[in-house]
Amino acid sequence: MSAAQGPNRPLRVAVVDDEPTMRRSFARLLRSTGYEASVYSSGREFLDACQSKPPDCAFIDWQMPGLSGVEVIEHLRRRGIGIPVAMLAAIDDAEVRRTCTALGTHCFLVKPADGVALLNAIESMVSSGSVSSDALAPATNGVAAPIRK
Amino acid sequence: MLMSSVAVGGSKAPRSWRSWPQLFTWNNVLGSLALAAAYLLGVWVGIALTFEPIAVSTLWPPNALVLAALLLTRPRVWPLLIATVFPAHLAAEIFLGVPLDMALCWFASNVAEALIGAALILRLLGRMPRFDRVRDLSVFLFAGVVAAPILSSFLDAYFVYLIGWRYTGYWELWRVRLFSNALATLTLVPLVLIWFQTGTAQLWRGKAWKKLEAAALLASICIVSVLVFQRSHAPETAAVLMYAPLPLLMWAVIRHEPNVVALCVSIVALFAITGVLDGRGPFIARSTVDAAMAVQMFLIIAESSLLLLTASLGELRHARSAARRQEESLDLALGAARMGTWEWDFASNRLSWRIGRAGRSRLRTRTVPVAQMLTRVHADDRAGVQRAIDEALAGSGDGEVECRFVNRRGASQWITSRGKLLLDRFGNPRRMIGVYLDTTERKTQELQMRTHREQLAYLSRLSLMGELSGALAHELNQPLAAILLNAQAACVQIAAPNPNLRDITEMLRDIVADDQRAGEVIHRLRALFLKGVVQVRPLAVNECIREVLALERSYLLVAKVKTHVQLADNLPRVAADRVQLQQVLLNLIVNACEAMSADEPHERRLWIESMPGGHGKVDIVIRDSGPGIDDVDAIFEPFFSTKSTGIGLGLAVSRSIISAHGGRLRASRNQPRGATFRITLPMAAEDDQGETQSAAARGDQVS
Repeated sequence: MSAAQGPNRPLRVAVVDDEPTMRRSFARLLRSTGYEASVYSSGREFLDACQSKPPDCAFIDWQMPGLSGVEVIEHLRRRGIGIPVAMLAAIDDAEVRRTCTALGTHCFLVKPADGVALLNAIESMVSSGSVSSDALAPATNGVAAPIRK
Repeated sequence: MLMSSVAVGGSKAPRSWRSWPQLFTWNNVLGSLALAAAYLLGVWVGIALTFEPIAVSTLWPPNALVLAALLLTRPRVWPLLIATVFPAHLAAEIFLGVPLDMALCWFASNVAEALIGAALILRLLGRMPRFDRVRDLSVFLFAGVVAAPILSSFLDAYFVYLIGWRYTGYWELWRVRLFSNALATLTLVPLVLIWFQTGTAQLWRGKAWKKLEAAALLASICIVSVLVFQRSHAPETAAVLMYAPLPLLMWAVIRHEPNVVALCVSIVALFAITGVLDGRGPFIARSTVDAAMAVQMFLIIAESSLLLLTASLGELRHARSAARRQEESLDLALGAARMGTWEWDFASNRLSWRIGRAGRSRLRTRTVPVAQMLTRVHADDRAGVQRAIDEALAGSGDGEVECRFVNRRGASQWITSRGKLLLDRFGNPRRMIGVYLDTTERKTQELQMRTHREQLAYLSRLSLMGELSGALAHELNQPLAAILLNAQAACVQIAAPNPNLRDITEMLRDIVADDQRAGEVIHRLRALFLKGVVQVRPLAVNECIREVLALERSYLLVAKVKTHVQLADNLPRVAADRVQLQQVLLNLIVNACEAMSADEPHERRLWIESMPGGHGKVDIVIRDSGPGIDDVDAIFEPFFSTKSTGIGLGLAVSRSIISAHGGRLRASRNQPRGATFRITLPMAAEDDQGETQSAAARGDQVS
């Protein structure tokens, strides 16, 4: 949480995934719905970026080369970065869910995750109060209406 | 029979001087006495057939009988035989009023003749002659009928000249004695030897009608001989009538064994000579001496011709019998081996084949036109058969083909056939001969084994896919997730007041690319999950390795294994089933990753390489940095497993798959740690190579 951030700025969402198409498509959806998306291809890259400018919330892929999603969260917590995190996984595994819960992950999403579910997750993270209050969650403004049923 | 006993007794006698007492066995002594008695009888017959005033008989049996006895016994028994004959000879001659010196001299010449004949025959043949062999008969005629009588007659005539008893001139005596003894030898020796060789037992063997025929023949010979030789004829018919017994004799030669022939010949000789003695028969001459001469010559010529014919036919029978025996043995062997022979005659364009039948003595031979045979070949195999035939005719000369024959009931029979082309002296193809083997049973077993192997491989593959399911789901979910997000982002964009068309186009492009990627994953998985027919085809191993790595990308990722791929360029294609080879590779990679799971992530390394394996083979090497293998042979045993999960069939199935492809799968330990699995596969046929694999020999690093 940086003090330099002004009021009503777009919510910054980080996407950490080794899969380029996943990063690209997720970022497009976020930008289309009024968010500011920052993408990272590895956990290491994301952690480095967090040092200077942490996002408001993050979507982290569970399976990645190098640091895994779980390890990235552990690093964040160790560094005292308490942003809300959603975990993305290819398999719905009970063991993984338990691990994520234990680490205080906000939610657990299984790929292929629906865009609406992803946006809802952001809203949920915002409404939970763990997101900085000066940030705006535009998805709630009806921008994402075309994909909401 | 006594003679044969002598033969047996003599043959068993050892050679050393200590065995002399064994010479005087009952058999030998009785045999010698029997010879003496026969000798006396022979003298009586000889005297009865003697023309006055010549001192020599027309047919003098004693010498022939001694010769026959010598041939029937071992040489070491000969002194005993001669010693026993001596008193009989002396007694008979003195009884007949022959001076003692003359009797002694005649004994010497008679014995000399028998000894010369017997020694020569044994020297040339090494055994008693058989009268159904041309060579044996030739030796007998030369030594016994020609050489011995000629040589001994010189001696005999000289003795008569010396002593002067009934001397009528040296050459006349020589000639008369020569013919007399030659005729006796020719008539009696075969008779005695054949009857001793065959024994009387043969008389009671054989078919009844054959015995009846022989009896009828003998009776006919007697009747014809009486009619021809024992009656007076007009001079015009006499010359022709002497040949009257010939048809019957020919009948004997053609239809009967040599013993019957010898008997018939003796009967004819006896009637012919006695007829001349009585002044009857066709042999009419100015003097009895000339008549005797005529009958002797007639009989010698007729008998030797008949014996030669008998021997020739005997050899033919032996050859036929040997051929039949060989044929039967061959048939038995062919039948036992489920084999047969065939012959294709190009002139008639017909194919004959013989089916070997175990347990049956009769062969089954069939002949059909070649075109008809080809229609029975299974439709799928016909082209192969035609190709093999064409290749053989075009120059290779021989060939092998495996095909199915379909019988009228529609059942298939697998045949492996090997043929050879035979040319005539101008080098033109004349016929083809060959053997075939019924391989139906083997083929059925092979098919069953293959089905079992494939089923096991399939089950093992399903189990493997189960293990990989998580990683495979990830692999498939990635593009699907991206497609969904892109599509939704596009929807949002389109609904916006000023949609950015460039962005939308990019999104759609990404959707297409991701969809194709997902399709490829499904396509690969489908092949692995399907229980398809195993299709061995020319296959580029590098392509196969890349496909497997694409499928296992997520798996390797999760397993945190760093993979190094080194694929050699210009590898020949191998003959393999794509899915089965992929299964083996998947299995080996999963095994390697599981083996390394206990190691620190940065230590987990996997090397995958392809390289030429030498002798037209291709090697695929999968090497890991894991803890290695304790027992490199045991790991391929079924149900061997070091893992807590899995049934331990993966490596056993992998090895059986590679073996079924004619390749090898070996394991070895690495130093200081790790294991190496090496797959060696034979390359596909030259025709199927096409373009070699164009994989660059680059160090692909997948993860």
